[in-house]
Amino acid sequence: MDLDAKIAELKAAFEKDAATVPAEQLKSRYLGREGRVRDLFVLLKSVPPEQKGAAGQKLNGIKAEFERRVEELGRTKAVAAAAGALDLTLPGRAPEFGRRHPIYSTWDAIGRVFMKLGFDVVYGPEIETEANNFEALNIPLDHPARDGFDTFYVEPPYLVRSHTSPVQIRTLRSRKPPIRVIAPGKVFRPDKPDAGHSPMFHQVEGLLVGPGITFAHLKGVLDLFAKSMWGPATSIRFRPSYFPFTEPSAEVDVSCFICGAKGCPVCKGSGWVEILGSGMVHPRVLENCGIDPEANTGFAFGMGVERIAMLKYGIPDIRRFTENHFAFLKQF
Amino acid sequence: MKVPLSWLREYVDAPASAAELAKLLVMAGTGVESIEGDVLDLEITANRADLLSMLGVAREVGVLLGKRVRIPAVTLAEGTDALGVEVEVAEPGLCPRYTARVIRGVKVGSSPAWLVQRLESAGVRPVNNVVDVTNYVLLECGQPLHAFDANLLRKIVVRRAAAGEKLTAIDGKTYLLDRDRLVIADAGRPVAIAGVMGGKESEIGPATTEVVLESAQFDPVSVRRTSRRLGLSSESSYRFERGVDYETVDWASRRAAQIILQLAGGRAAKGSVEASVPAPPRPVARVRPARVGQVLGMQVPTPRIREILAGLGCSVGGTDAALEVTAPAGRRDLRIEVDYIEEVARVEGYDRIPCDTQFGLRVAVDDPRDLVCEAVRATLTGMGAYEVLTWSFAEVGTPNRVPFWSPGPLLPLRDPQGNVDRTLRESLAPRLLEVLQTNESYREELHPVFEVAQVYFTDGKGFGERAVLGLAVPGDVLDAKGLLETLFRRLSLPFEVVPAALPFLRAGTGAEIRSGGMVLGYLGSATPGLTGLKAAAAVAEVDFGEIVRGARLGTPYRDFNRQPPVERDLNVVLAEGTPWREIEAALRAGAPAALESVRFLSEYRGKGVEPGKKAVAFSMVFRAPDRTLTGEEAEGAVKAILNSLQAKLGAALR
Ligand SMILES: [Zn+2]
Repeated sequence: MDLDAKIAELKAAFEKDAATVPAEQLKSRYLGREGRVRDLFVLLKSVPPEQKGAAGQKLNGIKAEFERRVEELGRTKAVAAAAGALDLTLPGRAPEFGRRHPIYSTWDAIGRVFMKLGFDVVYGPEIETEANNFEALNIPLDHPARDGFDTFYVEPPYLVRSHTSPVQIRTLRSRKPPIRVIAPGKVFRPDKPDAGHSPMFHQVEGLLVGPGITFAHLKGVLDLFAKSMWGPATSIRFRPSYFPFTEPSAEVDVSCFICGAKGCPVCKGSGWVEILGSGMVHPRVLENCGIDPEANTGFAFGMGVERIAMLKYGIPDIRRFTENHFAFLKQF
Repeated sequence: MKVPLSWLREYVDAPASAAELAKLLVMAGTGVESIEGDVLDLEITANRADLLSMLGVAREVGVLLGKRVRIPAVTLAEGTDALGVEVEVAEPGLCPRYTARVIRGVKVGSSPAWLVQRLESAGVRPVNNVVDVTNYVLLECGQPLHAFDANLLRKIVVRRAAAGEKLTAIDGKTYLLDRDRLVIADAGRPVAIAGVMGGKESEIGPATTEVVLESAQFDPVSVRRTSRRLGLSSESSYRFERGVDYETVDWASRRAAQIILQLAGGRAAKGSVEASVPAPPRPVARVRPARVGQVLGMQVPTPRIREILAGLGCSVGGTDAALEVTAPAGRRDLRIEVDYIEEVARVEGYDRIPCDTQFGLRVAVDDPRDLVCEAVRATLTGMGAYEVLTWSFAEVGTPNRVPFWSPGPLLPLRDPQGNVDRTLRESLAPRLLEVLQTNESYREELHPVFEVAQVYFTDGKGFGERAVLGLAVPGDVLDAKGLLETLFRRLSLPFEVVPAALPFLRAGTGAEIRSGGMVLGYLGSATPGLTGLKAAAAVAEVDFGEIVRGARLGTPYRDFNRQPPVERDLNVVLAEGTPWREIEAALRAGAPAALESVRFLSEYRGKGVEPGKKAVAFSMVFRAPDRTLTGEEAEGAVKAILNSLQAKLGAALR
């Protein structure tokens, strides 16, 4: 009998069996040590020598084809079998992950915007001197300007800073203009805790000092900040104000990102939300730090991280941040 | 300060509605707390003492709207009586100007309806016609006035109180005075606390017929200190603290006397007695229009600058290159060039200033602290830990001392009243454990918590603080150690844990965390006293500055071994007290170079293991750098390791 005919016969038998016989049985019946492909190889002995090469190739081809088919069938059947046993609606085996505290992530989010604008992040100690916390900042002793800056004293003249502005003083003294930094950190004020007050909170302050820096740059930088933080449609508004360490001084509002400036409880119907204080660094502050206020101008700004986070997430009470309930932290 | 629109209109053509007026003031720097009917409650910044009166607000509105301000004309008809009162100012430094007028024959009664209504709309309680006039004029022009019953007052002395002197003020309370309190006294005793409050005894009452009207200027610092020390604040002290105007002292005196005559009758004695130092010269500032542009980033034409300054009541001289500007009376905040630049910006409107983003490109420099902190937070939260934010305060006299970082006393914090009800914490551990406790009481499933924050200490010479990474972990000390191991591996920071006696930790669980011979922190199980937790918990604190110094976030690449590994597990029995560190050392001592790693699997004591012994299982990976290891080679290695364990620790194969 001709080899080609035998191969065709074997193929037909294989396809017939494939429909009914499990893959493992197919494998031993056709590809095993005493399988039917082996039987054909035995026939090879009787093929004339000049045809042996071509015949061998044909047999190897059929063997490879069967192997591929067996493997394929095996895989399909395994999936089918598994699907019957496995309940895919069961929850997966998920590792737990922890959460970042919303104050620290808001601090980071603010910092990222200013780093994109080339501001270095600088730090300073929390225990400070009266000189750095007040005098160098043009806040004289026994002046009503101090009313907004009630302070915890460790032992006069040492205190825990009531704002991160002393870091600005340290930076103005240790670097040369142009200076472009933000100073985030913890600050302390002897306020009774309530929904809006806390004796410990966080600020991010910024400072840009150098030749030719103007109030228009202050507006430009804070406009970029607001758009980056709350979206390109956000606008800002500057209102004159008073801080002893800046002049001109300004309070800055952003268009309400809750209601799109239409008016809501958060913006008290005004369409504007106050977010920070700012101004041109007072010439006396520059002088106090050994910087020539004629050759250099600059601006400073400061914002409360808690306030930004409360606005961002709609948290109505500042005390939530320090309670550390997992039920709260899980939401961020 | 409450400003009724109807009252304000007497002095200036104000906007038609309270809301419009509010908008105008807010955009010029005066906040509006609330609007009720036609009354605005203004938030006046500490620099704008001039706005603490109806006339001051009228001037501001006038400047902003370009309207003229109507100042009431004072026409006081003085009589011919002699004053009959002497004044002596013993402390001219604390009282630069003191004036007194005398009005005789007044009839004290209630004020007419218009006056009562005005005072009430401004939030001031009516008393009687004389006192009401002094309050009315105070609200009108910002100059505090005081009326004494003159029967008891023939000589007025402005002096420091003697230590121990007392005064019962018109609020009915008695105040103990000292050398730092300025008082108004008669020949013998204080009759008023200067600039703060009058005395009960010389108060104007129904029987009063003769009035001494005081109008003065007191030193702001002295009044502020006294007001704070005595815990006594008044409309008067509020204004004196912020500074009153030298020139207005006399105007207010005549204005009040005139209205008292109208409402309470009587005759004004001739003139007034005055004790004062000369009026201080008003500062003249050089204001360069070019500098206005340099600070604001917006050019304001010089004629416009002149117009704005003149509108504020300044006298403007000098040249167009450098104006010479003198502030009007009352604007004590206008002294130097930048003060005037702010005024120009304010009156022009901040919204006119453009946004300029051309301030030069610069690449921010990463602080290693931030990079390491980010890696720490990412790694720990990635392992299921929660970042928390806890108070930097500790309670006074807390029994939960954790004096690891410094043995010194806790740093007390004093509030402005001098109370010490909290200290600065010396350790993060108590607050972190408190977080676990809070969540346990809310029946939350517990997770590890961490925070990077400061701890504080005193070292005898001064105060210090240190950034610390703190961890509190439900479970035992190995749960905490595991988190630290993975974290430190992430930071490529080698460390070891060395048992140490730390009295604030459960006995036998405490250990120091060391790296390169330095102590970086500690870990251990919390004592029940420290936590109040029902569940077991471990704590750890590590010096964050040292973590930053030791961490390597970007280590160079080393090629890896591509040969197939051979794994072998061993289970040996050895003496109960043998620490894993010794077992690992002994097995490594006997191992060939092909031993790549050893991993602890489990420890077992009990059935099948004789008492005093334990079974320890571990897994080893062998790999040669250049070829596939044969089974025989691996078996040989295991045998050598077993031999070493046997020789060094008396271990037997289980
Ligand atoms: Zn809104």
